[in-house]
Amino acid sequence: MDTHDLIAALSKNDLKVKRDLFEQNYELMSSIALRFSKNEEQAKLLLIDSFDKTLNAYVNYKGKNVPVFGHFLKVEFITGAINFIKSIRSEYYVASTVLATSERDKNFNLFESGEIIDHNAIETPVLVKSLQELVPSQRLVFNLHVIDGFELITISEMLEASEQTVKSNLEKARFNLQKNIEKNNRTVKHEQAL
Amino acid sequence: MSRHFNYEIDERRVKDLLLGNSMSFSEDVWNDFLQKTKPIEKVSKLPNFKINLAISRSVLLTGAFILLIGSFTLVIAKFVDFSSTKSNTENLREVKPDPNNYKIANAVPVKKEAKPTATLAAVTNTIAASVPSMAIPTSTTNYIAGQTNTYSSTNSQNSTNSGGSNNMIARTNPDTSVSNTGKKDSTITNTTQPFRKKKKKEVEVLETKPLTTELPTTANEEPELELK
Repeated sequence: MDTHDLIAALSKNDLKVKRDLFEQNYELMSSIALRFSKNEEQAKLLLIDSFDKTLNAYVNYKGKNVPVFGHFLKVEFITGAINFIKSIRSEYYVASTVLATSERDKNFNLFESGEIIDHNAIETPVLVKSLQELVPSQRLVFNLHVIDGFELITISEMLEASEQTVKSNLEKARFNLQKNIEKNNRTVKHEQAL
Repeated sequence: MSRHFNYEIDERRVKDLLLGNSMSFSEDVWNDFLQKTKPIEKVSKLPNFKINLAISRSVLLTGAFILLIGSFTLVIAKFVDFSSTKSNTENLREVKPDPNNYKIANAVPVKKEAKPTATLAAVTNTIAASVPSMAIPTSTTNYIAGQTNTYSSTNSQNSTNSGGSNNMIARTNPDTSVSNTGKKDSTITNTTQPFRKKKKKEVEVLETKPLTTELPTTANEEPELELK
């Protein structure tokens, strides 16, 4: 379907066209939603909200050359996801008191196993859960920079924060992600042993 | 970051894992989408009129101040009742001269004809008392006294007698009376004003005292000290 025909159909609120677009892009949208949100429920809400905003933005596109829906969706859906996460102010604007420092020097727990984890053998559920446990600001920065490949300056503009804040959040996100992976890996193994 | 912390996560692998992770499509999600979203509203495209008005900050501030002052003026003007002031001006009655007011003015000069003789004595007495004896040489006072005798009328006998004692200068003309100091005496009243009316002010005779201390003369002045 041509882009103009697609816009005409969407502006007429054609449900069949909408559903086709929804189904075709569901995999991409759900993958973005899962890593941007804190759990699966929030991911579904994010998906619905961002897809709706993306359709509205596409129909009301004011540029001369209307882009293909697939390319437009990827950028616009990420923007919608950022806005959705930022709109939950009670979660987003919580100050992170976690310091990006090692606790090895302070840890006196003798029963804790000093097991070395192979980070290259991490399972996807552990990784997703570890990522979802991050503070929203750190999660956003990690996703945008590491997964989606945006530069730090672009991220700072997208998040309306300074570049230094973005850098700091990225460092904290990396540290906390590794810690979360170690913790969740142990938990999974403990559950499997039981 | 602490020096003990080693970042061991392979981000490429993490990226591949996360991009490949997705939820399976379900009708529930679609139904939620239909329930929670509204039909798309296409915003009518209006022609873009891009007006670039280069308005500087100073112009904006000036305009803002003008608006502020104007609004204050309007607020203040609301408290002023212009209609009432107009009615007041209209109600002002014209003041016409009352002919009765001039009756008194006509009657005054008749009374004043007899007045100068009465005040004259008082004036001459006060002047006589105020003139110091030491200021005028005796030869000149005698001369003036003689002159006053020649020009004096019946009332002027008092003045000539006192003039004979070398204590005064007096003239029979009540309008002009001059003392030696050349200053106008406060005790002298102008009795020739014909248009003063109504209230008759009694001539206030002030007590005068002769000078106790002698005025400095050139002969008594202390010699200036010579600087060595």
